[in-house]
Order: sequence, then C-alpha cells, then structure tokens
Amino acid sequence: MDTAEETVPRRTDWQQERRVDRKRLKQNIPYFIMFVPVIVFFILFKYMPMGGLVIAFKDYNFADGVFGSPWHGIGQFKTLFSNPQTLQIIRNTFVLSVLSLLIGFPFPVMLAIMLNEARRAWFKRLVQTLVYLPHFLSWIIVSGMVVTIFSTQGVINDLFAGWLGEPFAFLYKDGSWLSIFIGSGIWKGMGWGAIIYLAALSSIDPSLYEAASMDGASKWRQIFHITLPGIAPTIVIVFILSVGNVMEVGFDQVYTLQNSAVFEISEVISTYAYKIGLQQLQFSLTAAMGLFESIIGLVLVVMTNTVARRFGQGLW
Amino acid sequence: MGKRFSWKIGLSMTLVFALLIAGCSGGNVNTGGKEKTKEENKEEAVKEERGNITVSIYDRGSVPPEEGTAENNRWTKWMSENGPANVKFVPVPRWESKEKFNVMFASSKAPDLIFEYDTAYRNELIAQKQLMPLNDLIEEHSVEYKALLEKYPILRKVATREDGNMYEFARLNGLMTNHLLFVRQDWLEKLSLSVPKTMEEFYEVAEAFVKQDPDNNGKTDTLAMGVTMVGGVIIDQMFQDVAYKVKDGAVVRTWENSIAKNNFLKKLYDNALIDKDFLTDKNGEKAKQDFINGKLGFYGVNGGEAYATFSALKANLPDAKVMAISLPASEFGQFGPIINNPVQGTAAINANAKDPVAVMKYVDFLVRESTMKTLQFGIENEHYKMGESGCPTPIDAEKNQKELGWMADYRMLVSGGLFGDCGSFKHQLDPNNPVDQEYMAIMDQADAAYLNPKAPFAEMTHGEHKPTIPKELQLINTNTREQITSMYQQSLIGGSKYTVEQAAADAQAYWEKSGGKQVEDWYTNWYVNHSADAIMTKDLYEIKID
Repeated sequence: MDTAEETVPRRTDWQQERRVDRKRLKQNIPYFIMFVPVIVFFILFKYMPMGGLVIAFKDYNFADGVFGSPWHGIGQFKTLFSNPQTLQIIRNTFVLSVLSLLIGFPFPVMLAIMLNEARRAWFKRLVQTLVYLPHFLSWIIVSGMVVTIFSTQGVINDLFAGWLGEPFAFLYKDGSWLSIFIGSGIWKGMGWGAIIYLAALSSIDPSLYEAASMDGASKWRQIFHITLPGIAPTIVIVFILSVGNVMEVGFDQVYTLQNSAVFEISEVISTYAYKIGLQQLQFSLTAAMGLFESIIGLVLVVMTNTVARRFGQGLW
Repeated sequence: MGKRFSWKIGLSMTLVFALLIAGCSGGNVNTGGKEKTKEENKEEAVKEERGNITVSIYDRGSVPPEEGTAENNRWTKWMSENGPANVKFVPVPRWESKEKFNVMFASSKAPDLIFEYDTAYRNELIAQKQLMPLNDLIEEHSVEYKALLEKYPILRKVATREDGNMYEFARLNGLMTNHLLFVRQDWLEKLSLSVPKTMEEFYEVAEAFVKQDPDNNGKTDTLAMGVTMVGGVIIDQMFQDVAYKVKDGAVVRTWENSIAKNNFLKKLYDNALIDKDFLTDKNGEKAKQDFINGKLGFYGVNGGEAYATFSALKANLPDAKVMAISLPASEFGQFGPIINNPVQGTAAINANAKDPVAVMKYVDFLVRESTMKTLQFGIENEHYKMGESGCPTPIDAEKNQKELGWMADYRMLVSGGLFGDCGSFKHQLDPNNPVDQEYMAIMDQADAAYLNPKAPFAEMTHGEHKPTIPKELQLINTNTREQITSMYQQSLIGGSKYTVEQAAADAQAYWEKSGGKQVEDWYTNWYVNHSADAIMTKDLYEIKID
C-alpha cells in the first residue's frame, strides 16, 4: 500500500528528470517480472496477429501465405466500394449497433438502480438471478425462442389474434424485426450489464442518503442527486468502451436472427465477412472490410473520449 | 521490508503464470511429443514400409456414443489395422467443412488425404495450389486405382482439369436417384384425387390437401407442401428456375422462370397452403417435423434421409401411405428432381502431404474390391452373409443399423455402382418387415420416375460437374445472390404491394448494375467451347457401369 502511495508523486519527478532511478527500478523488479507474462500475452495474441492485417493490401492465397502473397495495393478497397452492397452493409452495421447502444445502454443502469432500491434482500436476490440467467444462454437458444414466439403461429400472434385480425409477420418486416433484434439483445444482456453498476452503487456512502432523507429529499431526488452522480464515472467508462465496439455487432445474434426477407437491414460486416471471407475464400477482401471497421471504431472511441474529457470523465 | 520476500512473490507468480500458460497450450506440448514418436515410427516404417498419414473424415454427429466418435471407432481402427498406413483421422464438421478446411489450409494443418464432395470448393483449392497433381503419382505408385482408371476412363475425365492434370480420386455410383418428391397417397385416395400431372392439377391437389381436411380431424391444420430445403429445390426444378439456362446457344439467367415459380409460390402463400413462416425455417427442420407429424401433403426429401423420414412418419401414423411421384410439368417442360452424381470426385491429396506415396497406397487399399465390400456391407458372417439373390444380405438389420448405419462418409471412395443391383439400398432392407416392404415400393416408383432421360433435372449439368467461374465473377454471384433472393421473397410475402414482376425487374436491374452480364458471358463462352466434351445433364443419364 505505502509503495503505491509513494509512487504517484515520485513518478512525476522521475518523468521530469528523465533519468532512471536505479534504486527504484531495482525495488520494482518483482513487479516487472510479474508483468512479463502480461506483456508476452499481449504481444503474442494481440499485437502479432495485427501483422496479419497486411493481407488487406494483398491478394492472399494459401500457397504463398500471409507474407508471400502478391501486393494488391488498395485494390481490395476499390472492389469493396464499387460493390453497391458494401455501403448498405456498413450502414446496417452502424444502424444496428448505434440503435442497440442508444436504446440498450440505459437499461442495465435502470435495472441496477431499481434493484438497489428494492428493500427485501430475498426479492433482490431472486430478481437478480432471474435477469442474469439469459446471459448464460447461447444466441442459438435465445433466437430459437424469439423466432418461435414471434412467428405467425407463435404466442404473440395467438394472443393478439382477435385484435390484429390476421397474423402479423413480425420477422419479415424491417421495423418489427429491428425492434425484436434490439429487444432480444436488451433482454439477454441487461442483467449481466447491471452487475458493474451494482458494484459501483455499493461504494456510495450511505450517510449521503441519510442526510438527504433528513433534509426531506424524496426517493426520486435521492436517485437524481446521489445515486446517479455516484455512478456517473462508471457509466461514462462503460459508455466509452461500448462505443469502441459500435462497429462490431455481435455475429451470433445477427446471424441467428436474420432471414432473407429482412436481408436489406440485417446483413452486417461480421456476417458478410463470414459468408464471403471464410466460406468463399475471399480473405483479403473481408480483411479490408474488417480493417475499415476497426478504423471507424478507433475514431469513435477517440471522439467519445474527447467529449467525456470535457466533462472531466475521460478515460485517458 | 522484505525485498527478498517480494522477489519470492514475483518469481512464484511468474511460475504460476508460466504453468497456467503451459496448461492452456497443453495440446501443443502433446503434439510436440507425438511428432517425436512419429519420427521414431518413421524409422520403423522404413523397415515395414508403413507410412503415417492424416485423413479427413466428415463429422455429422451421427456416430452413436457407444460406437465412439467420427475419428475413432471400429471402422477407423479397422482401416488403420488392415490398411497399409497408420492413419490419423481428422474430423471435419459436415456442414461447416469449407470453413474448417480453410482454417486448416491457412495454418498448414490440413490432412494429407482430403475428402470433400463440393467440386467448386476443390477447384478453389486447385486454384490456390493446395492440391497435388496426381498423374505421376498414380503412374508410378498405384496398382488398384490405376487399373480402375484404365477400365473406366470416365474417372480420368471427371478428375482432369484444364491444365491437363488429374487432381482427384473419383468413385462410380452408377445411375441413382437423390431427391424424392413424396406425396401422401392415403390423402389422395381419401379425397379421390389422382396424381397431379401439370402445375394446375398440382395446385388443385394442394388446395384440397389444406381445405378438405385430409387427416380427418375436423381442423384445417394441414399444409400442402414443404417449400424449404429440398422441397424448394424441387419446385425450382419444376419451373427450371435454376439461375442459368441455355437459350439459343447462349447462357442466360432464368428470369422468366423465376417469375413463373415465384408467382406460383405466392399463390400458395397468399392462400395459406404453405407454412407462413417458411422463411425462418432455414434448415428445413420445421417442414420435416410437419411431414413426420402427418401435417404435410407433398414433401421433398434428400435420398440419404428418405428412409429415416418415412419410418418416422410410419411410427407416428401407421396408416399413412406414401408414394414418390414424377414432378408435374410446367410451361417450361417436364423435369425431374436432382439425381445422384454417377461419377463423383470425392478425394484429393494435399499438395503439402509429407508422404504422398503412403497416401497413394492407402487410396489403393480403399478401392480394393475386398475393402469396398467390407465398407459397404460390413464383415462377412458378422454383418452379412451371401443371400440367395447372390447379394450380401444383412444377418441382423438392427445390429447393422447401429454399426454400419452411419458409415456413408467412410465410403467416399467405394464405387457402389460396381456392386450392380446388390449395391442398391433395397438389399439392406428386411423383406419381411412391412414398413421396409412399402419403402422398397417407393424406391421402385422413384427409380421409374426420376431416372428417365426424357424428364431430366433442369440444370445444365450436375452441380458437381459445373465449371468453377473465376474469383471476381464468383464475387458478383455471391454478392447478388442473397439480395435477389430477398427481393423475390419480399414479393412473396408482400401481398399486392410488391408484385413478383416488380421484384424480377428490380432483381434484373441489380444484377446488371453489379456486373452480372460478365458472368453470363463467361458461362456462354464456357458452354460454346466445352459443352461438347464436358459431362452435361443428358450424359449423366447414359453412364453405364458394368
């Protein structure tokens, strides 16, 4: 503990003086040793595979391998953007993930606050367990359930048979498919996402609530003025991280829920890369698309962080 | 403070990590060990001339647990023990085979001998120089396969590519049906309908199957036909809606056929004669369940699953009667469902195989008559004995089902056609079992209806003999395929708002915008130059094997 407290001021000294403090270096060797496996992990599994991105600028084939294949310049990108489908796929990826993020993001926060307000411990625990459960089901199972529920002979259509007149094909219409897509994502991820907020909530000083209730603040006031500001840093960090993932809509969910009637809105970069890249051997083309996806992701993260920093909540 | 103490912590933590990593990569460590033993084996092998090879095997998850796994069971052991090489089988998931092979080739871990049905994919591998040209290998090191090639030159023809090299091993299946169109004969009889001969009659029967309560339960809960998977392919054949057809010596897209087919489907859909949710039935399981539960009138089924599907239906509804019928004629003519490929390329050698000679010897072993017989019928006096017909007859059909029933993928080099009539599935059935008897009758109906060269299937040639188009054109094909399918399907479910004609116009515009003309030109060019010597649809019906 004391070393950690000491490090903060000393580090700045060290940076300013720009010279290696041998004694401190020696002192910290055990930590460096402990850090080595982490570095090795990142180099082996995160940085080295990035080298494979060169195939986006090559005409990759098995025989010549990643580094031996002939260079193709930006030819793959040209092919990609001369295909009318590409823009549609990028748009879909963007629309699906931005909507999932914007609509889905508040749900875990709300759930965490509601659970926090629940008074009976057994009730809280029961609800918590129930909403975690879907997280552990694979998308194959969840989408199987979703398709059965929303099909024209499904439960929903049975329930509203009298009201709708004739069965409504939820899964064939762009709008209703989109709602089902986002809704199922929320249903599956909500409980799991709430865990981190629950942890943040438990660190809020209870005396704040006591003081507020003594001053006559209602539950609403307390939520707005104590709970939310208390977990704001967590919310911002989680938000920045999820923005980084905006361009990668989860493959499983889209792939299992999509059908050809809603193809125009449901084909996204990951499903395209699977169908064209892995099944049709167009590795270079889809690597180019993946690279494009990552660059947009990076730009978005930097942008969000800049905005967050304005409000004093930046990640770096 | 314990400087030493933290040293210790640091070291021990690192050790723990190192151990963890070693644990995680346990597989690698083991293979390292195996390679060593392999090398040792090699030294012995020089004496015994026993090679070590890896061979792919499809994994369909159909091997019963008590029999083992796809890569380790009684037959893999039998092949290793009786064959000329130590074989390590590499399982490949049947329906993700391309992805799996692609990953293995990309990481140079692909097996030495590759079994894959998809010709287009094998051609991809040839283009990527991943398959070995076989001419010299067969010439110098083969005995049995070489003899087979000399006796049946067509094997050489299907295996030879434009560069004049042979790249694959093929088998002789003979003329056999594949897809079947089942109809519920008891429903036809109950409603006093005859087998439909034209599309108009087909529609009338379909309507009666839904509206006249053929299953007698007082509810309108029956459906006319399954239109997903094989059912869909069969309707495509009826209307010759098979993407490309030959018209006036040129290859063109089948736009008019698509319009006719989709209008027919739309009529079925709008009148609720087919499952309204068919678009979500991506693997055809829903239609299969409907048929097995006695709710479907017409059902298209894959030859490999036909017997199991039929027996499942009979187990549910012992009174159900089924027959296989000819496809009704449409305005485009009379067609048949897709038949089995009579001469089928199934195996190839990895260009990076370490010991091609050992692989060749193993292939020789696989095509030896005695091996083929064992793989086809089992072991004499254990699984079969010679019957009065002169054909191997099962001793205990149930035992065979358990021990041989899942073996199709181990027979990928077994030339069933060489067994003549004995190779027919009929001889594996029990003539004293009423269900089996009925199924034999269905097989006879199917043979009579579908092996008729006057009603061939609608494609230019069997999918496995189609030429592979260049990569950039292939991309046009794949990029447009789903979009076009989607347009038609939107017209199917779109009521009067979006007509099939409108969808066809949109699809055609999209096709042309995406450069589809180049694909048509490429096919036309191929057709003009190669159709004379390539194996076309009509040739398939004439292939004779004695």
